[in-house]
Amino acid sequence: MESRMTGELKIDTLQSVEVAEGVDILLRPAGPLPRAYAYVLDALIRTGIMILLGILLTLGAAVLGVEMGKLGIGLGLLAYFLIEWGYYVICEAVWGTSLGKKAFKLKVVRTSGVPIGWGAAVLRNLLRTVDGMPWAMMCPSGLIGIASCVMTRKFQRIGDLLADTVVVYSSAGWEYTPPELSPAARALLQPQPPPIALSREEQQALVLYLERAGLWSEGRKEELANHLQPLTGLTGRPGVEQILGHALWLRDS
Amino acid sequence: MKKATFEEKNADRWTELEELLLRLEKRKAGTEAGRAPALFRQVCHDLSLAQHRMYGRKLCERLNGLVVRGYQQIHRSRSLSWPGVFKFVAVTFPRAIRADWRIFVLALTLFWLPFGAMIAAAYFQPHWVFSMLSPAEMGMMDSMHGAGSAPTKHFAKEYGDFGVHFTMFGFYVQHNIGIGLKMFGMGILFTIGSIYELVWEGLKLGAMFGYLHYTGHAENIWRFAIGHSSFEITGLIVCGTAGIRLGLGVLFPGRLPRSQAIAAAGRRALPILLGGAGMVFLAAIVEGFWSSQDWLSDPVRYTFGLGFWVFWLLYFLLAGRSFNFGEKGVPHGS
Repeated sequence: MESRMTGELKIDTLQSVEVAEGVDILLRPAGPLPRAYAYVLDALIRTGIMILLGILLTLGAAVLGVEMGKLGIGLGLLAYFLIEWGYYVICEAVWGTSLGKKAFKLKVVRTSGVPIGWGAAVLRNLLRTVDGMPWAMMCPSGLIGIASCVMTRKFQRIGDLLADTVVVYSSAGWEYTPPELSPAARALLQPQPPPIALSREEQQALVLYLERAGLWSEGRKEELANHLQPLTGLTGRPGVEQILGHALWLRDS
Repeated sequence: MKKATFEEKNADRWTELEELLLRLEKRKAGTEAGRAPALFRQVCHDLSLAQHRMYGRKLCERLNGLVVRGYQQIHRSRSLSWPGVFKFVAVTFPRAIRADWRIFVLALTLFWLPFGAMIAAAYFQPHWVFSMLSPAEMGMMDSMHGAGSAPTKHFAKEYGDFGVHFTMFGFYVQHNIGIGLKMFGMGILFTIGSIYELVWEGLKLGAMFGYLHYTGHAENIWRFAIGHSSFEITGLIVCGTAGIRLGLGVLFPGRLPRSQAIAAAGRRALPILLGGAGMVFLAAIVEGFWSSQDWLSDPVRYTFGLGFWVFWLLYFLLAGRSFNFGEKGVPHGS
């Protein structure tokens, strides 16, 4: 994990945040695409709520025997205002996520990793007008927001920059565990110490090799293991087994 | 220590924290919540150990997940409270305005100057007024404030007189606060958005008033507007002030990197925005339920209306000045 924290050369989008207690936690910011899906779902939900309220108000007016367009219009306008401006603010301030985001396992946190409060929720959501620009026929194209996401490391749209927030995969959904070796394959391996002292980074590379080995074809495993011929003195299948053995020894004992 | 021993030794604590977090996340934890900070700090320690000793991705991710969730429970932001609202109204908001009084004065000018110019134009260059309004808008002004009419009659024609005040209230909330919020957000475009909106609203409203001056029914709209204008117009200008504050953060980041300068501007603009939106909300109440009471006599209307203007002036100048609210140190912004 070390290289992740110090290195400039990153091949993933994980962001490490140091919390007050001195440890680093990892957040995985979500890119524009899943957020666009969530946006569309939220838009459908908001429209749905409006339609439902419209039907309820009409029915209510009919039951009370007053003409729709009397008390109903006032209530409808208030509801429209609340849904237009308040839907995201309330959802995110109370639950930390909107319904659409929840469906795609996303949530909003501050860049320091703590949940957002009312202030941040207001700020980031009032900027939707700007992030959605240019607008065409009441529909946001979102080009400004997307440009801002692409230009910032944590995929922040302008509202996120302003409120100091970031949309991340919620921890329940993002633990990705690549398949490890099957127990049968594991039993064949002999944990054994590497012949020379390895640096932490080198040790880590071996452990990561073990943890990702399940993802690769035999050919790929051998190809990678062949690079380590100076360490193992072996090529092909025996080299792979040797490296896995070292990695097991490093990690599990 | 071997990984297996490490896991075995600490598994109970992790499970305990896991279950406690589940209850905390559902806001159902009782007194056992007191254990959370200690368990959380321990798991932080466990995580750094596991990372250092390279106990593998699986374990590290489990512990990382526990730390993230624990962190979010322990550092949860406080919920809204009445004392908090009171402090905001009595201290935070007026101080925030005074801290940015130059921007506020600029925003006032940006609105009132075009407004005044449009009314003057009604007497000297009426075609300016007509160029700002569509025929439909002129018709609406006639219907709302023309001879022998009043906004209630206009709305009553469209919505019936049952609940007409409530309809007006709903309309003003949706329409006016929307304008204020938009005025704020657009400010991030290097202040241009807010400046544009302020001038535009000033021109538009000025043209509406100017049109009635031109047709000779000006007293109809003044007697209607005097009650809520101090809330509504000032509230919108306050929203514009907050917007310009945002844009200035982008334009002049000072010593901060621009991304952080934007966040700092957001924190500073937030109380101004909330105050402005609150004012526009109050305006909707006054406009819907007070200004629209046709039976109120003019002296009452003007006394209350001017009284509100004086109130806001004193509020922005004086409120929260010598209030310490239990804080140590020098109050900021005054």
